[in-house]
Amino acid sequence: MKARGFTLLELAIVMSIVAILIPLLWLSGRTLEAEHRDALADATAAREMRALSEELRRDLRTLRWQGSTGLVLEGTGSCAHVEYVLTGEVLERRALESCGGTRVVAAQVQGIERTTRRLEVLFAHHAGRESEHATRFVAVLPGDEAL
Amino acid sequence: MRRGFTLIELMISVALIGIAVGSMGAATSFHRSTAVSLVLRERAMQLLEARADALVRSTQLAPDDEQALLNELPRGALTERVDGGLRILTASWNEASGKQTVELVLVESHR
Repeated sequence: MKARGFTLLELAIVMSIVAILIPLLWLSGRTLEAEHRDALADATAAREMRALSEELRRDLRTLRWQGSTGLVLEGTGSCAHVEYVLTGEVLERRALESCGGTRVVAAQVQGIERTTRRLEVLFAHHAGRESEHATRFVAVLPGDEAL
Repeated sequence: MRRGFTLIELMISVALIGIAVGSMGAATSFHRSTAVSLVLRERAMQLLEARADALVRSTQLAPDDEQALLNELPRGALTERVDGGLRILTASWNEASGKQTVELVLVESHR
């Protein structure tokens, strides 16, 4: 009569392999997922920083910072006032409708701080994560020099 | 009649799962290094734009501002050269994959 199924030794070997592999797979799955999220957050932060930088530099062609801190720009003419406001984690550019209106410039912004010409922006990603992943950018923007 | 799997069949299945997980790991690692590259490239762009803004406004980028931007790049460096009517700013930095550079070309205008 032919043997059917597994021998006890075969079962023991397979169970041992599976017992070793399951925690390893679970751990590597979690690590891979976290790394994937971090990579996505970094790529998004870089893209949003580019958009913010271009928007600010465009405004600074015609406007000047009001004060040495804060994110308010002033000038003359019909578009004399633009401000960047952080609400929650959304950074908005607020201006009159004829000057571009109110629009979202960047999301997942945890903090933004300007000191004279230097701007520091901190993008954070923490959806469903125990630990937070943050990406920081520094920009040096034009001051009061005439274009 | 033979039923169930043999040990070798099970081990092949386990090996295939291992290969699949390994491939996922490699893909994630590539994705991660691409994202790090994007972040560093954006930091380099900030350095180049700050220098370009100063040039366009006929001012100098303050040394501490330039240093603050360079500090954001691993072994970052900024060079400038003039080629005909072009002013070429080059930012370079080191990554795991080697030295990376990004250039910003300004056209000199003669008013």
